[in-house]
Amino acid sequence: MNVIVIKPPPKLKLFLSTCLLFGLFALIVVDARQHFDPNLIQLKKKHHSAQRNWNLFFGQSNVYLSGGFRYAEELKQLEGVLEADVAVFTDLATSYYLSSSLPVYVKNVHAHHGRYKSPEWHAFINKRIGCYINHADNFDKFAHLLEAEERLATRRDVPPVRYVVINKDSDNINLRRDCFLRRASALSEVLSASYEKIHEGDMFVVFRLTAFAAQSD
Amino acid sequence: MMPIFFHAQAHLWIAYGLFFNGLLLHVVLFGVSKQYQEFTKPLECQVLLSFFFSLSINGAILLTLDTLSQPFTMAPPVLFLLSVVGLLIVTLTKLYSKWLVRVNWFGVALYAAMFVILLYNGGLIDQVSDAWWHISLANKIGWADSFALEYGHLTGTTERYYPPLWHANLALLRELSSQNLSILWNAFTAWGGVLKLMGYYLVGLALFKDRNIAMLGALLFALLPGFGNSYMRVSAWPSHISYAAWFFSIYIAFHLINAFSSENRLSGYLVVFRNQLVSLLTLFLLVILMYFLHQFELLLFIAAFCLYFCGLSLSKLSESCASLRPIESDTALFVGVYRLSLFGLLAMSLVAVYALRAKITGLDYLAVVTLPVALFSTLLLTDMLIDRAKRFAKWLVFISLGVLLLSLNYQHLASLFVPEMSLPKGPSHERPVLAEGWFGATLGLPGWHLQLRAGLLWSGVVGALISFVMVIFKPSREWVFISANCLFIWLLFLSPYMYQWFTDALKYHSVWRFGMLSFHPIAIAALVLLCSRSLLNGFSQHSECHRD
Repeated sequence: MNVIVIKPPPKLKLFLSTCLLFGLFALIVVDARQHFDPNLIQLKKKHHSAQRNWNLFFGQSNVYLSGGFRYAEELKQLEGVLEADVAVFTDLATSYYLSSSLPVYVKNVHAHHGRYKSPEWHAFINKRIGCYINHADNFDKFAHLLEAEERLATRRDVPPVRYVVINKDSDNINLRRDCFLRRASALSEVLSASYEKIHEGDMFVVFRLTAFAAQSD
Repeated sequence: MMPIFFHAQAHLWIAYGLFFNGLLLHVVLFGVSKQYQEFTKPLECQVLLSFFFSLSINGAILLTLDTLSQPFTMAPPVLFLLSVVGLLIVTLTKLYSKWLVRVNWFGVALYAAMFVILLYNGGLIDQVSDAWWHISLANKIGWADSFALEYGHLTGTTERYYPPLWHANLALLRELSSQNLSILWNAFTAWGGVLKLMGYYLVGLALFKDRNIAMLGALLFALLPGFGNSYMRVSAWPSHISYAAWFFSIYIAFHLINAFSSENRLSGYLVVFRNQLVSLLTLFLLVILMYFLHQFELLLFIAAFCLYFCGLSLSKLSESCASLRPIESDTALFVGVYRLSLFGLLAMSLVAVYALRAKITGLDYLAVVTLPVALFSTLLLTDMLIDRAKRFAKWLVFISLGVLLLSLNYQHLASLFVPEMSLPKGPSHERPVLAEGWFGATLGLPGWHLQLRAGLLWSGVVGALISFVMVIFKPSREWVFISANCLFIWLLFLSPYMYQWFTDALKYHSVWRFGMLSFHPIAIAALVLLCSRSLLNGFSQHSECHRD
């Protein structure tokens, strides 16, 4: 009679396999634990960078408020208000919302999205001059920049800046951090004095830039 | 207030616009071609094929309209017409009766969980991220009725070319649904996350031919790093659509390798070629899609298989890898393909020397452009000499390995574990960190932002260690594939010379890609399951011995 005798596995092999298995399991648990740490969750939610999104508890309600979806209806209305193929000056987030829905171009974009290519606008935006154009000097700079841009537009075939848009939405975290929203009423006042207000909706106020003469002229 | 059924309409339109027509084409192909059935039975294959067929159909319609200077508003009626024709073909010919799906219910539960998590987390759209750059491009493609925009889509000034297929599909989806692009983008994130998971499952299946390893790998892919939400939230990015295509193409490539490796004669190859024509065409379609979706994943695909064959070729040097033989890399076809690829890479690196000659102002940059030339020529020479002059080939490999190890920046490696040791930052957060070369020049390396630290710890350290150990102690082709790809991560993320070369030669600022850091889940899954089985076998053998 043939009896198959199976040798017991080496104890060392068993021991190592068990250690490895539990070691890897522990590694995953350690990696996972931080994602449930309430302090870290709160810290991340408030973080300015992409860190706030690497968070299981950053839910759709946050996305809903700051994702720009709530502007869909008014952006449709703006289709009939804004001329196509021209540029708009507004805050950073609204620049992207407009460029993603309408046939218009924008000036206030991230540096790595092409702002560097226009050194005049890069400096203007970096120094936050656009938020303080209620000061006469800054308004002059703004008007001169628009004039220069207009000349460039005909020569270099870049879209001319024709509108300034102010987004009044204070629930959007991207806007709350932008000086444009914080200075919205002052900006509206100074723009109303010089330019035509062509739209005022729940979220957006649109000014048409018809004259490029500086206030001091 | 946030609506309860958030973006429900967008989801319905995504199901139609990005899956339905592709599914009809898939059912037709499944009914008429036995070759096609061979590799498309798993549910994951069918969903991915439906998606990629739909992308192709939509892209072809838009390209035709663009060429004929017709508005994209004509695309929806054409799509509806195609749906009707497809439905008629499927129902009248009863092709649906031949349609089979192999469903893994644990997988379905995993995909459903991922879908719900991403439905809740959304598509990283709540911050002014690059998502908006892509949505803006999709918007302008839609308004211009053209793939080729006259001006840059954001500022109206010139911008670099970006592969437009995914953006054009989004533009079409807006045309179909009248939904805002941001809503479509956010809703698609949940679908895109599932597609990536499915693709990853297929990679595991192709490598280990084991559904449990593949499924555990897919689960770990969702969990590590970031516990289910990190890179999944960017699943609507074109690069991530391309990752799904990349993963799926690995699955089909292994299917083809298996088929072709059974032959070693020209007449045999012709027979296999005829039998595998459909899978070859599917792979070709995926290659085209990767090119028009994001391009870089095509390079990753080529690199993955070059490294794999390189690993198999070098395994001839080790006695412990003798158990690998016979293997596909030894057949004439694959030897030819491998050598041809190396010739191509060598030629490319020589062209890069010429193209980058203006930058060679010091010894460090000279090393940047010559290191790849030396590497590719060494690999080619080794492969040709390995059977005739094994000792010489061994020395060549040792010297090359030594040079590559010397080219790594160990401070950068240490900073993975000790953040205080980080290299100086570049001009901005997204720009490379500054590493010092052998001769004092400053070269770039990817910094540890955007979860690259976690990614490299998992894939570059845990995944690489597991796969290297397995290649040494239990050599098999799947471990060679994983370890070779982990080595690629080390070269690109830790060697300033290789990183600088890739960045400059490709003229691409973010050659580091998250997709490269994704081989650890399969490595961990395979090790855990192999160990568990070994453990269980051990226990059962113990009990049997007791019975004896």
